[in-house]
Amino acid sequence: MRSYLTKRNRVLLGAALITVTAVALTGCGRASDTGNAAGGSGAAIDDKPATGTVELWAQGADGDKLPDMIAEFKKSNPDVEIELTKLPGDQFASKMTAAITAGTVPDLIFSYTEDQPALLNTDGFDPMPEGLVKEDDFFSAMWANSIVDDVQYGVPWYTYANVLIYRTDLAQEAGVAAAPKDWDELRTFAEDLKSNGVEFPLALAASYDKYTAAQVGVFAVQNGGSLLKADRSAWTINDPKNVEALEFWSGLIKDGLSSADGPQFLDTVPWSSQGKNAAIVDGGPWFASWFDDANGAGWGADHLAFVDNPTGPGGDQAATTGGGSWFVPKDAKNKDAAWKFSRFMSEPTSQVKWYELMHNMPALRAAWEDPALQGDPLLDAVHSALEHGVGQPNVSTWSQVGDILGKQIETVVRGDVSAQDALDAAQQQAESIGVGQ
Amino acid sequence: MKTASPTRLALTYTGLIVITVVMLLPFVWLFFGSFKTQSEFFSNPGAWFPEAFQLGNYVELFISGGFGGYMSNSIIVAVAVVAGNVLFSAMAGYALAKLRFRGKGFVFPLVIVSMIVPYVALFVPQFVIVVQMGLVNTLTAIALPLLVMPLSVFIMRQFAHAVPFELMEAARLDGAGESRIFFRIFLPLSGPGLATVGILSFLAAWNNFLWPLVVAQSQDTYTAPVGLAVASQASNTLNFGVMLAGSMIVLLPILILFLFLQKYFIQGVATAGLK
Repeated sequence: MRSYLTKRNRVLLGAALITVTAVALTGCGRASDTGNAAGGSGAAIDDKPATGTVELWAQGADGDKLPDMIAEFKKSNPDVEIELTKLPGDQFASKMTAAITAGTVPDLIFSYTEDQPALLNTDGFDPMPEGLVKEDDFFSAMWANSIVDDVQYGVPWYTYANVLIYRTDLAQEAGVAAAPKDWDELRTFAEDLKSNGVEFPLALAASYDKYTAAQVGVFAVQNGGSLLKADRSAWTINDPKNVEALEFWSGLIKDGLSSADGPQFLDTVPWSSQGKNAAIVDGGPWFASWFDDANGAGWGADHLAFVDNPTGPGGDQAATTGGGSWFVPKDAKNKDAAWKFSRFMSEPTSQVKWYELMHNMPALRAAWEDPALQGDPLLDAVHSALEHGVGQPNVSTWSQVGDILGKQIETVVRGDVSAQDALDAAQQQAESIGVGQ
Repeated sequence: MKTASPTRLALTYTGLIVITVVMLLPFVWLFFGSFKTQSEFFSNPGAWFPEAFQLGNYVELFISGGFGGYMSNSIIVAVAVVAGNVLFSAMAGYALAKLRFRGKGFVFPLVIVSMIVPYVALFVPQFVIVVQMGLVNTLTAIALPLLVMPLSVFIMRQFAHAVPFELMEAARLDGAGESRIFFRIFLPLSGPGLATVGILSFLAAWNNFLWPLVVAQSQDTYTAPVGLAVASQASNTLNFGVMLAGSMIVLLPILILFLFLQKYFIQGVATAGLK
C-alpha cells in the first residue's frame, strides 16, 4: 500500500506535532508567574461606599437569590452596579481556570470548598486585604480552607457541617434510648437495630470515590489521624491511626450493619424513610428538607433526630464541613468594590438574611446567636459539629488522590484486601502524584 | 436467493424488538420523569410514571429559566456551523481529491492528525486566540472553532473521490473555471456527502457544552446545554424534573433531524466509521 507520507513530510509532520503539543502545554500552564506574590495580604480596604461596576460570577442555586443581597448592598452603596452571571456549579472550576489563563476574569466569584484548592493553585487570585475580616470571627475549618502558603485568599461566606441523622422511632422500637456517642456505641446501636429487623442500620458513603475517601478521612480524624500532614507537605494515608479507622469503617459493612452498595445519593431518603436504613452517618444537613419533601411536612420532626457524629476511641470529634467563600481574581478591574461586597456578605445581618433566603448557614460565629437560628434541633447539631469541622485535604491533587483512595477502600469492603494493604497502595500512588504545591 | 426460515426470522425479530425496547427504556424514563415533581424524585427515584402529569418543569424552564433565549442561541450557532462545514469542507475535500498543488501530500495527513489531537489539548490555546480576536462572549466565538471540522473535510474528500475525473475534464474542455466546476458540477453530485457533513456538524454544534460554557461569559450568549445546566440547579441540589424537561427539549431537534434524514445518518456512520 502506498504511504501518504514521504520521508521529508514525515519529518515535517513530526515537527508540527511537537509544535502543537508545545503550544498546548504552554497554554495549560499558569497564567502568569508575575503579579502579587503569595507571601502577604493585600492593601487595606476603606469604609467609603463602593463605586463602579462589579462583574460577579455565581454558581449553583445561590445565584437565584443573590439579587436580593445585591439590592441590600446597594442601599448603602448606591453608586455601584453588580452584574450577576449564573454558572453551572459542577463546571465552575473549568470555566474559571480558562478565564484566568486568558485574562477574562470577573471581579468577584464565590467558590465552593471543593473547588478552592484547584482554583487557588492557579495563582490567579489576590490575597485578602489586611483587616477586611477577622479570622477568629469564623469557624476555623472554613477559614483554613482558603489559605495557601500561609496567605488567606477568601472571605468565608456560608458553611455547613455533617451530623448523625437517625430514626428515633426505629431506635425506640429496638430499645435504644439515646443517640450513640462514640464508635462502640455506634456499633452497638447498629447491632440492636439490625436484630430488630433493620436491614442495614447505618448509611455510609458507599460511592467509592473522593466522597467515600473524605468520609473515611473524617473517621481517621476521630481516631486521631489525618490523611495529610498538618503543614500539607506530604500524604499520610497509611498512618496506623488511619488504618484503624478504615478497619472500623469497613467492618461496619463487612458485618452487615451497612450496605456495600448504597444508598447511592438519591436512594438515601427512600432507604431511610422505608426503614431499610436507620441512620445516616456524617450526613449533610440538606437531608432534613429532603425527608419532608418526600414524606410530607413535619415528617422529619416526628421521625428524626440530629446529633453530633460519634467520637473515636480517644474522644476526638470530627465532621465533614464545606461551604463557600468569596475570592477576587488578580486581573479583576474593580477589586475595591468586589472586596467591599465580600465584606458586606460576611456581616452578621447579611449572614442571617442569607440564611433566611437560602437556608445556607452562616460561616460567621456571631450570626448563629440571632433568634432566626435558635431552637431548631438540626441547627443546634450543625452548630456544634462546625466547631470540629474537617475540610477535605486542601491541596490541588486531592480530587485525583481522593478518587484513588475511594477505589482502594472498595477493595477492602468487597475483597480480601486488608485495610493496611489498601492504604499502603493508596499512599504509594498518592506519593507519585504529590500534593501539588 | 436463499430465504431465512420462519423460525429464524421470528427469533431475529424478537431479538431486535427486545434490544429496541431496552435501548428505548432510558428515553421513556426521561419522558415521564420530566413531568414529576422534585419530591417524587426523593420519595421514589426509580419510579417509571409520575403521580400526576404536571407541566411545571417545562413552565419553569421557559419562564424563569430563560430557556427560549438559550434555544435561539443554539439554533443560530448550529445553523452557522452546518453552513460553514458544508461549504468549507466541500471546498477542502474537492481541492484535496481533485486538484494538484504543492504540499498536497502533507495537508491531508495534517487533517488526519488534527482529528487525533485530543480536544483538551487544543482547548486553552483556542480560547486564548478567541480572546485575542476580541470575540469572547459572542455567538461567533462559539461557532468559530467548529466552522470547518477535520472530520467533515475527511468525509468530503472521500466523497469527492467518487466523482469521476472525466466530468471535470469535459467541463474544463468547455472552458469552465475551477469555481464553476465546483459549484455547478461537484456540489450537485455531492448531495449525500453534504447531508452527512451537515448532520454530523449539526450534532457537534448542538451537543457542544464545554466550549460554549467557557466562551459565553454572560447568560445572553448561553446555548441550550449550558442554560440547561444552570436552570436545573435548585436549592442545594439538582432540580431533576427541570433537568429532564430540558433534556427532552434539547433532544427534540435531533430526533426530528433523525426522522427525516435517517438514510444519511446511516451513510454518515458507514463513511466515517462512527457511532
